[in-house]
Amino acid sequence: MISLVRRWLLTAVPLVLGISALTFVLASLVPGDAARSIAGVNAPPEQYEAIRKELSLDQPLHQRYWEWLSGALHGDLGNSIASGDTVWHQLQVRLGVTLVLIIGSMIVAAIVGIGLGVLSALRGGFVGRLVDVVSLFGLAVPSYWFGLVLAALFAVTWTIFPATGYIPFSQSPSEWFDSLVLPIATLGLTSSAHLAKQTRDGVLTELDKDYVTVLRARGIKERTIIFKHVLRNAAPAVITVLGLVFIGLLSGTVLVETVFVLPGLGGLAVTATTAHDVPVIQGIAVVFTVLVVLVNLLVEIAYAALNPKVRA
Amino acid sequence: MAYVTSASAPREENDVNRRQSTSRTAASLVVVALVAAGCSDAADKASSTGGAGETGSGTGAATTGDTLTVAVQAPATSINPATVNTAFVAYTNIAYESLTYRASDGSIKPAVASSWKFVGTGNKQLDLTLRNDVKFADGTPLDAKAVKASLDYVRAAKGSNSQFLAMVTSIDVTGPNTLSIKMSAPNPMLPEMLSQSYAIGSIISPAGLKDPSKLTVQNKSAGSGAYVFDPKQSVAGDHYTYTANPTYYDKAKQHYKKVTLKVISNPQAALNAVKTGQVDVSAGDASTSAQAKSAKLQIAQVPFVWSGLNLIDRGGEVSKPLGDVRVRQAINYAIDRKTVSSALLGEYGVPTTTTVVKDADGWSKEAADRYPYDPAKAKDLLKQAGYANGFELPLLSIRFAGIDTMSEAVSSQLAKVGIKVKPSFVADEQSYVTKATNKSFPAVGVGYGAQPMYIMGQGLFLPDALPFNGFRTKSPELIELYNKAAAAPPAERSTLNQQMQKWLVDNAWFAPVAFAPVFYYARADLGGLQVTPNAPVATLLDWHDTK
Repeated sequence: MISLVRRWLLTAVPLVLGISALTFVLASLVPGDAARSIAGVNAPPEQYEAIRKELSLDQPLHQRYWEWLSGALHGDLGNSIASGDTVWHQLQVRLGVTLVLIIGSMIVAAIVGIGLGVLSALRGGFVGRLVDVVSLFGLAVPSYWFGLVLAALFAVTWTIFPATGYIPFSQSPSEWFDSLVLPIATLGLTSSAHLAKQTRDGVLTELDKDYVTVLRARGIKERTIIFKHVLRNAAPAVITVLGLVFIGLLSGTVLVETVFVLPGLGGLAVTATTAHDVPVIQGIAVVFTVLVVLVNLLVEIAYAALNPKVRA
Repeated sequence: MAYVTSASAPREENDVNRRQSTSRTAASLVVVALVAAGCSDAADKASSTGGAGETGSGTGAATTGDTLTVAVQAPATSINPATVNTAFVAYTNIAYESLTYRASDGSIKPAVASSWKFVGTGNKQLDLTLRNDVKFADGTPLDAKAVKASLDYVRAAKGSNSQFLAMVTSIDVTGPNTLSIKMSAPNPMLPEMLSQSYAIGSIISPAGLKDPSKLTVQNKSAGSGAYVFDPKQSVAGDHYTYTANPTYYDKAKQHYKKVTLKVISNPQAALNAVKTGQVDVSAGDASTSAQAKSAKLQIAQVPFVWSGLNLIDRGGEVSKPLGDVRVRQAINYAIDRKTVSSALLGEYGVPTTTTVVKDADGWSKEAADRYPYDPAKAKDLLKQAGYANGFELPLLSIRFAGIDTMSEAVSSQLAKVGIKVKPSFVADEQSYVTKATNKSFPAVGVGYGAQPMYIMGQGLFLPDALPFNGFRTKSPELIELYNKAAAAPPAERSTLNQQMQKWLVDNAWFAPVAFAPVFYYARADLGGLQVTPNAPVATLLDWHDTK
């Protein structure tokens, strides 16, 4: 396990550095800049240039990145160009919302996806085909559109849940829950399709194997065979998909937080990109990258727990 | 008609040039419309659920409400009045009381200044008298010295709005509550420019000016406005909360205990928020107007942003044909404005041949009727100019706020008379500004918020009006008209402004196609929501509960 963590660290550090450099370059290559966003279209050239200088946008790209990296290595991610607020503060305020959204969506996706996958594999026939249709629907439907539909039905038409906004848990646990239902349902249900398909395929593959026939011949209960043997053997592939689902959810938050107006990192990514607010974009990229590599570590640990060969 | 396209202006026109740089601001209102609220326009016609060009059904006596929540499309780039972009003045004008107040009917009312008058002739000196009962939120009194310090700071801060004060030569304190602003050139619009709409007249306290770098979202605001920005109740980029200012001088104008500006960039989400009562007012757009109507929301709208072509190469430097006024006129005759407007903007589009909305400053029926759709006449004019077989016209456009689709529609129209438009689209403002001003394109797709002629001149058609006068075209006749209007008393100015607009139309400097409206949606019982041709951007200080 220690060697696994060591290996992970050896890849994680250069990965975060590489992603931060890549993000910096890409964000800087996007046409337009923060100076124009601040000055407006009508600003005279001298004013635009003055703002560029003030923001150090007239400096070479590598120099700006080095300055950012030097600060970041000392724990200073800089200030938002748009608001003047520190990037750390913006990340702190918003990270919790995004994590709650992602974790909630993962739980929904796992329960619905794995449940439907197993059901489909065991029942087959009409139920299997139905699950296939639902899965395809989930794969095909953009979460953005699905969120708007849920909002139109459950918030605007039936007024069961709020259409937009986020209520902190400390303010009202019940309203906090209500404010998260539709966003989590949007992300969780659309993500569950991948899991359902993978689970179904995995379970069907395992059910066809000889050891299942042997176990059945020995008179072991079907439930035991499924839950103790088949699911365990199908789990690695499902866990891989769960890791991918998590990564997909990170990008999904960008749209869903916009639709439901949640103060998370996804929504911040949209406004920061629009405003060419590179320090904020960098901060979000670093957080998202760290989350992804952490999840990869968890996936590897899970593999190791399920498969002794990996542990060795 | 000869045009000069030079960066250097003759001496006698220097005043004009200074004023031009003063008001590139005009187009800032474009941004007001296009960015801030997603509001893009305003007009003179009645809204579907409201009164004439203006409001919805919320009427009745004002009562004090608890919280007003307003959806805005984008977070503020600054909450310092000296550096805020005109598109985001909603973030500053509720916390920083301005010298004057632009009411929803467009009239200029007293605020910190109880009265003002131009002294002498030529609109070059404005004397103001201040109220004597105004205090900043920190309790210190607001007097003439504080106003001078604030205006001087705005001039020095070089924010986009500082251009409005570029022609000011001195600000003299003449008494505890009186001051005199002297200018190098006539500026009849200064009282309006000192209103909440332009931020420069929003007064910052001496305490705030001690360290302006602290006028950010981390700190309380330092004004004398009806509300005070509260950083503890705000999350930058998500919501901005303002609480009632206990020292505010006019409690009757303080309609809420708290005001929250909530950033909702998605139009559908904003509409949902209004429908479900989470938000009281939101900017709207054409894509959601039908839903708002069916939900029986209060809708206020008025035409505001005209879109079409800006024929900037009027000297024929890059495109020789455009140097001929007959060709530019042919372009205007060749556009079926009614069809294009209806197709792109639906029932709210207002076809136009002028850059001003009906009944607003500078509008006249003669100019409005100048170019009926007449492709035969267009072909005839092209033939007279020596382009019977048409010509190729490179066009710069931007994929923003429907300017691109308008450019495509106009291209199709012009193809019918033989003008082969070659559009090039950019996606960002900076590329647009650069290419519109480096003489690489003779024509530009444009969206521009309607303005009084004086301000529009500085932002749209005077020699230094960049980026919209990309070739710096200069017409002595137009400049003379402009100068005369600027120095004229109000009664004469109106006629001169009409003449100026007619000149622009006759000489076909532009090919406007249609005005798109600015929309606001609100709950039915909200009062005070009104937009008019002379005040297309609503101010939330007017809004109040009616029950």
